[in-house]
Amino acid sequence: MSINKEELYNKLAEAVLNMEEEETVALSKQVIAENLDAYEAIVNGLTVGMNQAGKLFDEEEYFVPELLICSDAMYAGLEILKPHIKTKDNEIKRKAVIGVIEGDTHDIGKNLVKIMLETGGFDVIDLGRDVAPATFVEKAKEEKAEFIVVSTLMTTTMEGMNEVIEILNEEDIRDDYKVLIGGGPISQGYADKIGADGYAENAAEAVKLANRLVAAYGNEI
Amino acid sequence: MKEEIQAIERLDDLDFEFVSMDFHLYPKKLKTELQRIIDQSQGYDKIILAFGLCGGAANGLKATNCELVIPRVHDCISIFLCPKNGCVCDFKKEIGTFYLSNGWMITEKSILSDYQRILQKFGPQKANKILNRMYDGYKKILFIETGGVRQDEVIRQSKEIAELFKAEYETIQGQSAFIEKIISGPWDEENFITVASQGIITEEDFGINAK
Repeated sequence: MSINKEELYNKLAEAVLNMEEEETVALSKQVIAENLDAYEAIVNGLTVGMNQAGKLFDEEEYFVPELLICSDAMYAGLEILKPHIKTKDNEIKRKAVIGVIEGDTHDIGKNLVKIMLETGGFDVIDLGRDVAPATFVEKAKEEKAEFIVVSTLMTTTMEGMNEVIEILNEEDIRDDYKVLIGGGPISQGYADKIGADGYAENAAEAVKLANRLVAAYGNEI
Repeated sequence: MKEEIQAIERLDDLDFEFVSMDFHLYPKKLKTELQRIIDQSQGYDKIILAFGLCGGAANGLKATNCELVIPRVHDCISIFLCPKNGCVCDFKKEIGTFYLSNGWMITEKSILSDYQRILQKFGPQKANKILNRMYDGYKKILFIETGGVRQDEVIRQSKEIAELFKAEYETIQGQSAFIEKIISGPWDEENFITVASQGIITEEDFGINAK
């Protein structure tokens, strides 16, 4: 092998972290040219870079624009690597519907979670922002999704998340879906209170949470 | 709200502590800071927080040494716009409105510096694309006028933001009656949450319940 793959993945992570879209694309192409595992490059390269960017954001070294440019770079790399992921025959692709709850148009966080879920191998249907609770349920049914992912930034709209769960209960289909919630004012306490299946503090944690639920419930959902 | 509070004539037996506007964009850090100040405040009869639920920042705050009072509002938009009580803002009607005031501009002018930073590093195309993704939900800038020495400068900046957003620009006169009530009372139950020493403020107090 002409190149140390760990080194290449590190470079990929760095390119995402440093907001270098062209470099990310070039390195992703190299991964394919070297016949390396595309999935491994996503997990050990692109995702690592994005997680590092998220950390800098928490430390207030990066701000939202930087985070978005990092995610652009990651997405560009993903476009190249994704078609080369070897899917196993018995593997089921997990589907999620995602959106910002009714009354709220803040969608930066939702978009980051969407990208991270896609990077993590989920099939994500984006419902956009200002989405009525009933629409989440309708679309989840229509798309045969297993996950309903709801975001909000405002305290004035967070109760809409509650309504999503209420509708699932009323229709007696609550067990068919895992409901994940997140956003600025949301806490684990709120998730417990309304009976959501999980809360994640940021986009990277959202993917881990979804994966944990898949591992725990497998074919039940 | 520092300037707005300082403009109000106040009683002698009150101490004021102002929290840095840097926390405005980080509710969880704001909570930690508020709790720190509450914990270290000793020898008072009452602590009044001139805050609302503020993105969840007030959820879980503990009254450590004395009674704790906080307006029963989601944020200070309601405080500025509702003279009698803080609960009547019609946010549904105002979806897509970006509120600005003297105080908020201390942090929100970061929109202008964010834009400049990206513009210099990546050029206008990328800068506009990023700005659009961050703010294209906003159709209107509503500037709440509360006076203050720097208001002209701040209005100029807020208009610059409206231009960047390609949004409408409107101003509205802010009210100080509710701010006066926060400082001097009466702290009636309809408009204020009062918890005794050792009690905890919860999001349920602000009307956020599991149905």
